[in-house]
Amino acid sequence: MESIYNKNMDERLVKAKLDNGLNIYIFPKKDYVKQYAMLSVDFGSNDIDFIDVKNGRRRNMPLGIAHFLEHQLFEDKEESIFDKFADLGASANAYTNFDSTNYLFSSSSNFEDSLINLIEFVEDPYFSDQNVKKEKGIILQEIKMYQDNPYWKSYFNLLSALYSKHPVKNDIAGTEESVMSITPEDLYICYYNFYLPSNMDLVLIGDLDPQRIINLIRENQAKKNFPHFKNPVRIIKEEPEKVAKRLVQEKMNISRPMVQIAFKDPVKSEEPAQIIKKEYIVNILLDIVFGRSSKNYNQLYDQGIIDNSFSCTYHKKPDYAYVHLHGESNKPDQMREKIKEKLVDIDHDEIRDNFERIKRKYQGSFIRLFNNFNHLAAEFVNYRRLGIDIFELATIIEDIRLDELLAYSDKVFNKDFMVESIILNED
Amino acid sequence: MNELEFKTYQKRFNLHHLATDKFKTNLIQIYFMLPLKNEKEAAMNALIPSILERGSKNYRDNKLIKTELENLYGSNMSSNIIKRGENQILRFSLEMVNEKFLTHRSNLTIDAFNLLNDIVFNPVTEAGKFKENYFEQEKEVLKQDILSLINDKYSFAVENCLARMCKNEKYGIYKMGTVSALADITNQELYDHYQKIIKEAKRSLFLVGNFKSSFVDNIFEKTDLGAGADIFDENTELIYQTKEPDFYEQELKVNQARLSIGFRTGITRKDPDYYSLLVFNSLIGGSTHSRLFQEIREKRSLAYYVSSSIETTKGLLLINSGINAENNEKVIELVKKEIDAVAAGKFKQDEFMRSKKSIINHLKQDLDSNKALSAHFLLSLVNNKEESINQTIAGVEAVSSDDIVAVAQKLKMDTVYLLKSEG
Repeated sequence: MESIYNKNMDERLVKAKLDNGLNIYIFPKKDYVKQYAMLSVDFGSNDIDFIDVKNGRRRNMPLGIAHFLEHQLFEDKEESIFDKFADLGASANAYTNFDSTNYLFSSSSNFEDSLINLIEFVEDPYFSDQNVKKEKGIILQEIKMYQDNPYWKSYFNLLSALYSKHPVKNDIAGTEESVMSITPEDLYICYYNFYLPSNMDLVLIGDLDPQRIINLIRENQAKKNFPHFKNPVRIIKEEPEKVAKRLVQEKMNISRPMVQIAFKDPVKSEEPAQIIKKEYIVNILLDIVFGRSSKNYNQLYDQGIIDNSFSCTYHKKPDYAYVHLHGESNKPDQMREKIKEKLVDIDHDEIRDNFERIKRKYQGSFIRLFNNFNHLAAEFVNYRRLGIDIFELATIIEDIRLDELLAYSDKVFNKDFMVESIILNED
Repeated sequence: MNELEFKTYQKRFNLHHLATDKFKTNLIQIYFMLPLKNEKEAAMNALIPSILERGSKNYRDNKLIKTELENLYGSNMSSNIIKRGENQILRFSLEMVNEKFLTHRSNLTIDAFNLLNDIVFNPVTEAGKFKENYFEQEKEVLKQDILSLINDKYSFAVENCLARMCKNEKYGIYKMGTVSALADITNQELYDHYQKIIKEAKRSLFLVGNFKSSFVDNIFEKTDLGAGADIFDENTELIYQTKEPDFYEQELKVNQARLSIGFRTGITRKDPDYYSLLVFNSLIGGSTHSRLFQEIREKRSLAYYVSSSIETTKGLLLINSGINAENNEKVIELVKKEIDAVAAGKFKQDEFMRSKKSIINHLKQDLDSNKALSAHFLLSLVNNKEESINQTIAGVEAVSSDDIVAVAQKLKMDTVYLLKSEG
């Protein structure tokens, strides 16, 4: 057990690693009533192609299998998992994203029993033909719901324009067809390969006694046998540098056109701290050039080309990265042109004049992060997987220098790597 | 310091202050409450905050406002239009990092508060009106906001159901008005209306966080918020009637049909039945242990989401689900059957206990969020029944199974709305 105290933030983090490889992270929060637990499995919608550790065979799984598995783990032979938590006064939930599946509960009493519940249901798979069939109906409705969401639709159109090989282009829930093809056997194979304690992080936040909780988990885990301790072997197909498509257009029943633009940022192998630092640098840069206080945003707002539906972010992971800008506009062509024009030729003076202030904004948002348990747990895991403790973020942000922004400003926004996704109104 | 209860200071207006050092940020909110009268006034009320956020006497344009907020370590300033009962509530909210987590910067709170005050009370004017281009641009932005309801099919179904259900009541007015009513508004009329709000509307100031006593003591001098009554609702007409339900269908090109069923509960927050209604709502559709979730989703795979929610100023309950259109009647029948079962007392003790525990768990968690604490207090204030979260919990604890049966028996199905695909 290791305990780190961060004086500036007045926050403590306790870490422990069990013999079976399970990582436990506890943020003790004095005086808080809420207790929050998240068991995060390093297995997301991107992990469809891997070598089966059981027999060395290459597996190509149906799209959406991680999300399906998340739904399916809530199935139990006897009682509903949701009811088990409800009986303890806790409320359970789960979500799947590109790179992880996260099981969580929040409670205000009975934390230890709820925690054991959480670990038990994730570590006890039960997949039958009957319950897999039942879940298909539910997930098909979930997919339909997202198909009616214009933002979601155009976002995945955008990703499919950016990437020709990388699995991030696929919808997290998969397609109707891929979901219909999923079998209990597929689920067991994925479970066997990815649901190992050493491939999971457990994050606990609340007014908790770390030593007692760690002992409790250790005792629980010692009783179990895990079939193997081999790390999953993922296959990520090599992604070409150039974009897959320039433009994807579609029509939906919406109030006005929705425009999404991205710049693909080809990745090279980088240190974790560098990946995170670059993510902050480019986001600060975007705020300077297109944030709410920028000259460009306010000019385009005055001209009625963009409004407060507009936003921009840079996403960076070890295996993919892109700049993402989107908004609704009745002048979609002008919006596209203006964004291209402004980003490809960034004024260095503007960066110099605004850098310190925008950096301060990010320092404020780091402090804020510790207010919200759910957000803190998700961000913590995100950075931990890259090999960075969340407290180190403060230093990473502090260390960002103006010349680093200037250097990236000439590189990241390359017209040759730009793609567009437009949703137009149905006539 | 950790009682987590609001204290009220009555001077020319009411200041509600919750002192706590639990959070990393401090929260300041200014509220105005306005009765829902007609679509045009609703649109005017919705338009004012966005014009105010465009520029003030000391921060002439949005760029300067946003620059100052960034200087204040990314303080968040937002305004919202909230509909509660037959009222619109305008909320101006400012959240900033507590200066104790910063190495240098001792007057962040006061600087941020001065900015908020300037935005709300000192707008940029031209010839006794709002600045013309701010007025025109924000009118267009609001128009787009109203129209964009169709982009979110869940909310589209909810609002269409409520508008039909309450077509002869003020509650049927959309919280941002309509596009045609908006088009009628002139700059002069809007500015006069703004002046009227500042002088006459009900008002309140909330503080949640760890503020210096010098700041709290001087706040009445520091703000331009004038004298006025607190934000108590005296306006909402409670309708509770037995009638044959009305059925409406609307067609659009959609992948998923959306069903929205409106009920009258006849119960508001002021009523003793309020706590029983909370438990009933949790049992029928408030969570994943609820009967509708179990029957419609888990047993029959008919939906991904099915849930119920309550409005406790007007006395409404709404059930929402995304389904295949051909299952419409089946789902409505299941909803009726589940409500009837509860009304006949056919539910298990452990289902009842789960429902209670679930509400208490969520209420307790509200104690850990400054915005949730403020939202809870706002609702109790509006309904003229100021109570702390702990008092609400005590009310829920006291609910019996018979109380739930009584609520289920009181429920009146009023309107069924279905959004489905064309043809």
